[in-house]
Amino acid sequence: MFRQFRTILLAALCLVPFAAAAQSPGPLRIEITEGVIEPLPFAIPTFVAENSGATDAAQDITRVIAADLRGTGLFREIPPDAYISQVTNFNAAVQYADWQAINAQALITGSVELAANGQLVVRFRLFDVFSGQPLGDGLQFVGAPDSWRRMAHAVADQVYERITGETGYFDTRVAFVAEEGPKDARLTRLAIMDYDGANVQFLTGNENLILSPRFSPDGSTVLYTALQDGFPTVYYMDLGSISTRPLTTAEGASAFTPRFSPDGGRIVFSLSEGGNSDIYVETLATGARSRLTTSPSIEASPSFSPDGSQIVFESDRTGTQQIYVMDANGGEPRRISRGDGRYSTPVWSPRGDLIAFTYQSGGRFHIGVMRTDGSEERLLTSSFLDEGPTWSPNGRVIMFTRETAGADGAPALYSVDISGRNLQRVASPGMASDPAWGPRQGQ
Amino acid sequence: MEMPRELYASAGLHLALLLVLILSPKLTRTDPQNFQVTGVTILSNAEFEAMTLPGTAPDVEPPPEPAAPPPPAEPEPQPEAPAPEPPAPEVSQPEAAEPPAPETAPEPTEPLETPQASVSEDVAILAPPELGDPSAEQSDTPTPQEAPRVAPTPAPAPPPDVEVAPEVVEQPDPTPEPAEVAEPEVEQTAPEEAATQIVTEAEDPSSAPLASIRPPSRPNRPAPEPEPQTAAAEPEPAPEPDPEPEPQPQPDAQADAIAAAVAAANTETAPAPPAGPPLTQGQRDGFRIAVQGCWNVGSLSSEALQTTVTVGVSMLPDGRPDAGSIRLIERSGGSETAATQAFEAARRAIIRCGVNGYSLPSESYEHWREVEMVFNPEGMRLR
Repeated sequence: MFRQFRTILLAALCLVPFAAAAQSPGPLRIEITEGVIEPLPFAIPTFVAENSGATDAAQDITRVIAADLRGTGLFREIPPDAYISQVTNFNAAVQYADWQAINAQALITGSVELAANGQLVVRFRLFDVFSGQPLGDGLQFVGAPDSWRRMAHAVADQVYERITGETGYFDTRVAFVAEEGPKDARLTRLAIMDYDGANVQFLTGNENLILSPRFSPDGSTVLYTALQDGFPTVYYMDLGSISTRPLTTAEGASAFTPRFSPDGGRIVFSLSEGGNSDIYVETLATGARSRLTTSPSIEASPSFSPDGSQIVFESDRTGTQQIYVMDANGGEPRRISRGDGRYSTPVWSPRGDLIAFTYQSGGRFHIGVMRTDGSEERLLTSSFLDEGPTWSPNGRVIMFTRETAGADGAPALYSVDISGRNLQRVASPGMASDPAWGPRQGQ
Repeated sequence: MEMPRELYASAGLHLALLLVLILSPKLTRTDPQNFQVTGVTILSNAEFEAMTLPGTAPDVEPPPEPAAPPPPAEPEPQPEAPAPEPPAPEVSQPEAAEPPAPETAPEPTEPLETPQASVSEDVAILAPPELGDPSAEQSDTPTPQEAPRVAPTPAPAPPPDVEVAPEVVEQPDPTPEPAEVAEPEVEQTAPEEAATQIVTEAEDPSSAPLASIRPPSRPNRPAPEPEPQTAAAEPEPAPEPDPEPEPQPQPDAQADAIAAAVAAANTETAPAPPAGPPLTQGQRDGFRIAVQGCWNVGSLSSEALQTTVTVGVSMLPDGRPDAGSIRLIERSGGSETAATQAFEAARRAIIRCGVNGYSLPSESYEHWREVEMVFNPEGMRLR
């Protein structure tokens, strides 16, 4: 008897831990690996005009912010008609339930005031509707009334950053070649505009053929190539004074496809002498120039890596245009493109992880990206003629030139997300080509 | 020159040896010898053992059967197994010495209850529950019921014995507020009797009380019991009587005792409510799918898409997440900024799809009261 009870007792004690576990189970753990990829719905009631002088600006700013976010393809604006709540006081408490009801996941509220000193004051707040709390602090921007678009872009940049975790690219400009006239007698001008096509400015006349403009890292200077008397020449243009000066070259030599180094202290370009073109780098402060390649083939379109340690360029040394990478000081280049077609105009991503390029094969052109070692190549677009990619400052979007076929074919600017989604035409005055995306302003 | 001489000597000797062998009668004999034939029998191990055992007789054949004996030992326990069922009839008798065999059998059949037997080593007395049939005679040792008395001291309501001592209402442990609380139940009236005999056992107060206790169930049944209890109160005749009450005690006696043991060892967790059945795989999948339907990674940065975050959330009984409890437990694969974005996307998903409450079984609330969700965007990553 006793022994058996002891046995039972021991058995019972052994089960105790399990019994306890059953009574107080640990947290339920589940792993979620599949989600959805869709634009995030947001609501942006027209900003509150704090005074009558700010009414128009309030509406305009609200619309620009909404357009910026929509244009990314990452956000979807909920039609104002669907709003249950109306924001008439910037400091009023948010009725989260009303916004949840229309499935708004982000809410942007703001106000615009024309201050007594003539300055425009723009304030905004961003809320995570379902969490019922603000995302970040409210911010205020002050500027001249005519800079309302920049203030709107600045607000959109903030919203974009807080939700995606990436820097915005709305307060940026794009340099491009504006074209006009028939295809066989095209006239070109160097132009610059906001990333969304607003505030276009023509920087040169149309007497020369303009090619490949490139922004300096600080956005104050643009390099471009102009064909004068049949010879390409590289020019520097100071955007502040709209003044230009040529890159000196030897008699009979021609330079083209220039690009700044990440620190802005050097430029790398192709120089053609005696029928052979190679890659050169020049230090702007001293004018010292060094030759990086010595191949009898054509090397062109050099582009620095973000850290300035490497250069990617195109070369036909193997018979067809391919992409190569070499140290910024020269050395033996290594081929990274592996396809059968032609690869050209490589551009290193600001993030440093990808290289965008133009790919031609089977009579069609594509814009693609690949890892810096040539792996994971992906073609993002396909058309009669897609070429000349340029990265947004955050490395998320690529802008390029797309030209339609036929005698009436015309070039235009397009953009596409590096995922291959959200392909859209960029607003521009007339025909446009060869875009160069500048840095965010004020940085 | 000398070699030939040695060779001749060797050859001569070998030849002589061969002759001797050939001429030797023993070596050349081919006649069959006489053999004595004896019967051969095949013995099994058992038989062999039987033959070799000192006690067993030299008998050869008989042994085989003895080998079988071992099995019989097993059969015995089986028959006893049924014993546990009958117990209902009479509670007290148990003390019968027989217990040994029966007890072993029951353990396997009733895992959870048996452990409670631990009620106390001394309680070996309680073992009785096994054989209900034995006979009323054994009632002479009604002590078994006393176990509960031991418990009386502890406030917790002892369910089973309630009936045993209907009259003794003194200690109503109306733990529950309900006015109805039937004191009779709470009462282990038997105390008096038990006390006398169990006094010694009382030394293990903690365990005894718990054994008979079933706090949760008792309180809920008070309403229906009232009548029977009152009736039982009349038959006070103490010791064995109380036919009605006995039935329950018997079956519960062992189970309760075992449960008490667990409770005793588990003092802290004992009061915890039952967790209910765990979520089935289907329920877990349903929950996961519901959340991932709102996990929108379309607006996340490439870096955030390389960041796996584990998010903790406390759930409300109605299946809705407690928004304020959502927290980042850990992250991997990205910067802090990326983790923040990934966490916020996860938080939005949890809250948005849980606005009306997730479809989770309420009876298993304890299993999903706290949830940890691992949001792994590996499959959603932009390449």
